[in-house]
Amino acid sequence: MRLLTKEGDTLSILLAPTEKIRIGETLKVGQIIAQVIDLRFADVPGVLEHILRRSLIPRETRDIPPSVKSVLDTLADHKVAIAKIRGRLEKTGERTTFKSGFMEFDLSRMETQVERVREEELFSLLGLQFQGKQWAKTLSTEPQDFTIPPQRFGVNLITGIKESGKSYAAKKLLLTLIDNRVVNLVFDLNAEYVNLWRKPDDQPNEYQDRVRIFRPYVRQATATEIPLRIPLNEINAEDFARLNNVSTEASMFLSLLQFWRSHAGQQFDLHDLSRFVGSIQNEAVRLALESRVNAANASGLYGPCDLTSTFSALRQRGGAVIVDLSRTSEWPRKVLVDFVISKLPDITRQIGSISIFLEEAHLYVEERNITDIVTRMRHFGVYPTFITNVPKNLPDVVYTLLDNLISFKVQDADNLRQLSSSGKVDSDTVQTISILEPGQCLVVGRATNGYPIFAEVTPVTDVKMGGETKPLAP
Amino acid sequence: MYDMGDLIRCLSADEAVGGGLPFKPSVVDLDSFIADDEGPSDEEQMAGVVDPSGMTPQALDVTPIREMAVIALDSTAFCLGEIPEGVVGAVRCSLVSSSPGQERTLESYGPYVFALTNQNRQLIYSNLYRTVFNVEPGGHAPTPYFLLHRIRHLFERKLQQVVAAEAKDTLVLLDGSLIGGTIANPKESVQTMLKNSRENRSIAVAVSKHTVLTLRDSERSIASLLDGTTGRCFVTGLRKRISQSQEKYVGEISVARLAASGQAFRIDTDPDDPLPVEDILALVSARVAEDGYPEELRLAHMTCVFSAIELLELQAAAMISYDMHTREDPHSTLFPF
Repeated sequence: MRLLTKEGDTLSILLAPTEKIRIGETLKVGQIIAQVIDLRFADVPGVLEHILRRSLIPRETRDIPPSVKSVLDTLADHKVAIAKIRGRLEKTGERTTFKSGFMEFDLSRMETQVERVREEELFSLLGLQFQGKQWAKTLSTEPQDFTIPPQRFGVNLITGIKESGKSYAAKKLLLTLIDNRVVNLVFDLNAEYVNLWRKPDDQPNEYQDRVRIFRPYVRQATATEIPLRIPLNEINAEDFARLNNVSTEASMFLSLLQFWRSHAGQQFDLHDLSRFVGSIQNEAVRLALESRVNAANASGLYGPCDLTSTFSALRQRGGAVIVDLSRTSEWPRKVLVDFVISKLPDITRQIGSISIFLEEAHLYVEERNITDIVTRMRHFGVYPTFITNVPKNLPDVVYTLLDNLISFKVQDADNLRQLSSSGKVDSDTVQTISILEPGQCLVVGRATNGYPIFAEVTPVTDVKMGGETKPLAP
Repeated sequence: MYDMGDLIRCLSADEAVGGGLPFKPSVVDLDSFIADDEGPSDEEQMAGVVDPSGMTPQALDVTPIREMAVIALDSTAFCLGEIPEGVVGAVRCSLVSSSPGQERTLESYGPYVFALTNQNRQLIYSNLYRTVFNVEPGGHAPTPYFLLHRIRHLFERKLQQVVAAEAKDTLVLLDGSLIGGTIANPKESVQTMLKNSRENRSIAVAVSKHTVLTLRDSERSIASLLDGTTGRCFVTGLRKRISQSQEKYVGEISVARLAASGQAFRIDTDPDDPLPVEDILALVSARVAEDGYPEELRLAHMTCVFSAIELLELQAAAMISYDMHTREDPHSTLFPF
């Protein structure tokens, strides 16, 4: 490897055909630390003519002595690694540390040695230490275990196109958090997390006692699922009206408002509402509301729900509460999520802190609530991880306050721009996201001390990672 | 592919070269389109003079076009650099085949890289000459640089021989002329090649890009015989009008413009071929591009010459093979003028 050029913060390193290097690997160029973000053919003069002549007659047989064959056609294959300068090494006494930025450029194209930095050495320079079960392996030629420790969590974003591996990564991250005794809450839009307590053969696994699944519309709790109900006194008259098809312009709605006002600050349930409706003088209003209350009663959506105690029970060993939203239509879903989010301050008072996973949050969390989660609730100990196909669907405040970006393959230019707006990664490096293979991702932020790490999520063997999908054909 | 093993073994007969020798690579211009080092031709040593009196160009009738398999051969040599007492060179030959209704194919022989020194030149030359012509060479080996081009010539002759002996019903297009009886080119060898072609119902034709045959009095090239004419035309029967060393010109010599707006080329044909020269020229004209040069022969040339990139690679291969290191020439560095 030889240093060829430097433009701004980008180095071009010439590679011989035998020198193999991968995108994401780190190079030490003298005292400068640079990361490979692209690999290209070297722009050798005359190469076009050389290739054009070779393509004149495609059907070719060649008799070349081995000593020549080993060298012939190698020059046209010389590659250039484009490497982004991340910082420099600074020696203090016996200790060498990594400092971002570079104000000196004391390199020689003839003399300066270009060496690959092993990931182990890089992690040591970055002050990263990983213990316990690992989440991923780095993409270098000598892969190194890598994970995101709970201590480095903040506002996280996991993104990537469909089938890029982001949901698998999120589930595995959730499991590593459970292993680290963290309590988690998952808003599961597509019932992808509901099997985490099973092995691939559907037998219970080690997480059986630490995964709790809350489902709306379930009448009775079972060994595997708990009814998610809305205590009536924890929603307002408007929510109840919308959930039960009562127009806010009808006389019925005035009666509902009257009930909620008269019970403000009190515990009440559907029985109390039923009694109130029975006392309404206007027969038409009474009959109409009675039918709505009966329907609400039959839905199983209302009733007591002690989320807080469920979370408290998981506090010692860590665990996850999965809120299965897959069978819920849009409005009840928003009301349910609002209800759960409103309980978070109470829950964190009980258990200290909580990590929440929000798959496609924009579909069920009001923007004001997202802003609330990433701003105010951080101080209650709420650590959100947003998971989305389309980064630009999340409000800008998420990117402003983002602590960790975990990006799988994203191709769309708008979304790539959105990711670089987080300031976690430069616009050149963000382009590498578009060439990632399934399961590979770029991680940058607090988890990596700001250094972009390319990693591949390692498989989980004893957990059923798939959701409840129904195949089109057997 | 034909087996060139015997010739390659001759090149590596002497193992004395190497062991840390200094090597001064030839300058390679990466921006030039091709790096061609033609070297001296055999014919340049005997510039014949043709009597043009009474010669008039005839129109060339090219119909009906007869479909025929074609094989075209060409070779190249390049001096990769200098070593004490010699040079390191590379040779490559191309053989382009085309059959009616089939895709063209290329057989590429080489590059063969070898070192020639004052010490090994005689051994290598004698071995190669004997292998190609089955006779002892008639003289001493030339200096290493000239020997490099002689070796290219020997490789090409060998390929011409095997193609003539094995290809049937084929138009065999050769680069250059059918000259024989020179130091590098025994007359018997050329005659045998033509005889083998005839026996295989093949037709051997040599096309010269340049010729040193000139017209008496005007001293212009014989190609000027077609000056002032238009369209496909030719003049033939030039061999018997050559004033000196006529016996060394084995083929019948014609000048022909094979494409309506093309250039005139010297074309040597087998004088004993049952087909009249006009018919042979018509066959060749079916293979030419707009400039009048046969397409397969052009491809053979383009695929055998070295690109600048290949030359750099070959220089590296030579240095590895012979364990050499590059040498600064203090004289040219200090006194570039």
